[in-house]
Amino acid sequence: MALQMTTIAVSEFPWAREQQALRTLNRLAQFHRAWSSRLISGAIGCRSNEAMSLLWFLYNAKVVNPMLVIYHKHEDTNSSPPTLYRDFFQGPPLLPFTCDICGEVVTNEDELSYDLEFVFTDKVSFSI
Amino acid sequence: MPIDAFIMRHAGGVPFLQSFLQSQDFEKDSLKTIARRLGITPGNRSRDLLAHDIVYELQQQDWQAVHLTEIVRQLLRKRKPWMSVKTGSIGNIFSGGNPHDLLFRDGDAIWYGPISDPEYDPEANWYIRPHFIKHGEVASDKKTIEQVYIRWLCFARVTNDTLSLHWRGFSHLPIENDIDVEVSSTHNIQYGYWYQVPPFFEEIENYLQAKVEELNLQQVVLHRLWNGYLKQPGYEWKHRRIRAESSGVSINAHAGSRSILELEGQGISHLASTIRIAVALEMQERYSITLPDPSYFDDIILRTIIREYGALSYEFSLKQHGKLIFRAHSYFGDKTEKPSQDSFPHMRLIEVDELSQLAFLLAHAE
Repeated sequence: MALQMTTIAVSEFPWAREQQALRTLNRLAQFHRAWSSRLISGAIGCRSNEAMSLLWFLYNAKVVNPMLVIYHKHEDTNSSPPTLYRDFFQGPPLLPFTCDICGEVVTNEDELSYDLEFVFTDKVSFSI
Repeated sequence: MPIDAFIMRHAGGVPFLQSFLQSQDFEKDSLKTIARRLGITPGNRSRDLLAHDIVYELQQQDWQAVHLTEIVRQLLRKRKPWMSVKTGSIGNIFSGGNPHDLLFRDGDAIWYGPISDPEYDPEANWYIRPHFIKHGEVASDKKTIEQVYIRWLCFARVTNDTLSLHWRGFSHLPIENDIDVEVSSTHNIQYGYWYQVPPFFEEIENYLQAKVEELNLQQVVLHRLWNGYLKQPGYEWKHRRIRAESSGVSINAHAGSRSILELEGQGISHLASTIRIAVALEMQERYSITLPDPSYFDDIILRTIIREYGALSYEFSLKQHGKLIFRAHSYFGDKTEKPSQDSFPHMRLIEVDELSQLAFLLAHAE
């Protein structure tokens, strides 16, 4: 089913009102289905907490769903893909569970790290 | 292999001072400077002999405070590659512990200072915070790994509007008790400074009555410096490393210092041009379209990878007329849910001295 296009006004975010920032938001919306605060702050240069405010604003506008991204720390790599995605409001997974990446059973919460991403449910364009 | 940190082997007094001077907390040139101030001609003395002679001469000169202060200043001058910066306003300079105490004993879990060093850093006051870390070391019997303590020093630099913490990293073997060599893993790991630096900020901000905010590294590095210097005449910007995570995909692209990429002078730019060439060839073959302006498309790919893919950290170097003026790996500190290298903004400063890099960074901050 094709996603519908929703236009979101971001004028209440001073850092997003500049044309350059607005252009960047619209560009990001075209090729990233999931946004994190660092994606926005890296692309625009706003602070991470300002970016997070925008993401929760988008959730309030019902165009994104917050997802908890769960990583299993592996000693042999600096970074590895997520082992699980969960609805943010379900919270962390119950232990133990088997890591899809390495096949090991995760028994200790200390082995996990988390990230928060917001997945778009609609196509979005931004305006002021 | 000896670790790059001060292991405390003496309870205090003169033996403590001598072993501290012998440690990696001091440059050998610093020991020579201290020696000269005491009237010793350093010549080709070894580090150990210099430390011995300095302590002997200090005793002869009744432990004069001026000489002890010189030692503390040389301690400040030791290169500290790691740095985290906050800006705002500083309420007051407080009186902490006497830094001379750190020369003769382990010290307490408090801030020592202020310390000024007009020759090295005329605008700032410095403080030092010791922290004690358990470390496993193979005992002389070669059968056990015994627990010793490392004293790690975190340095605070304070001006009217900036508070920065500076430290040296090291790897060690964290153990809780003495253990057999055979059952142990003697694999050293990086010390987890991320557990200590944020609480140290909180501590000293309270003492200083500081109203400060973390420097927005994404804005300064990825926007102001990027827009100001990338592809500008007279400047050479090199992308050296990017770590990013987005939509379940991790990127870790690194141009090693001796790699062919480095020799070609292209670093991560090589990755971008490889992708662009692949697309250009396909467009030419399949659609008979020649991709115009290759460097423009390389820049778009680089911008996407570095600025628009959820960067966790980014390293670049900048030369001005062939002279390196800045090289740093910036950790943007956006994954705050658990202490880790990515949980607070900080940088590892490489090659160029830290005070000039800090000044360069602050000149481009808000």
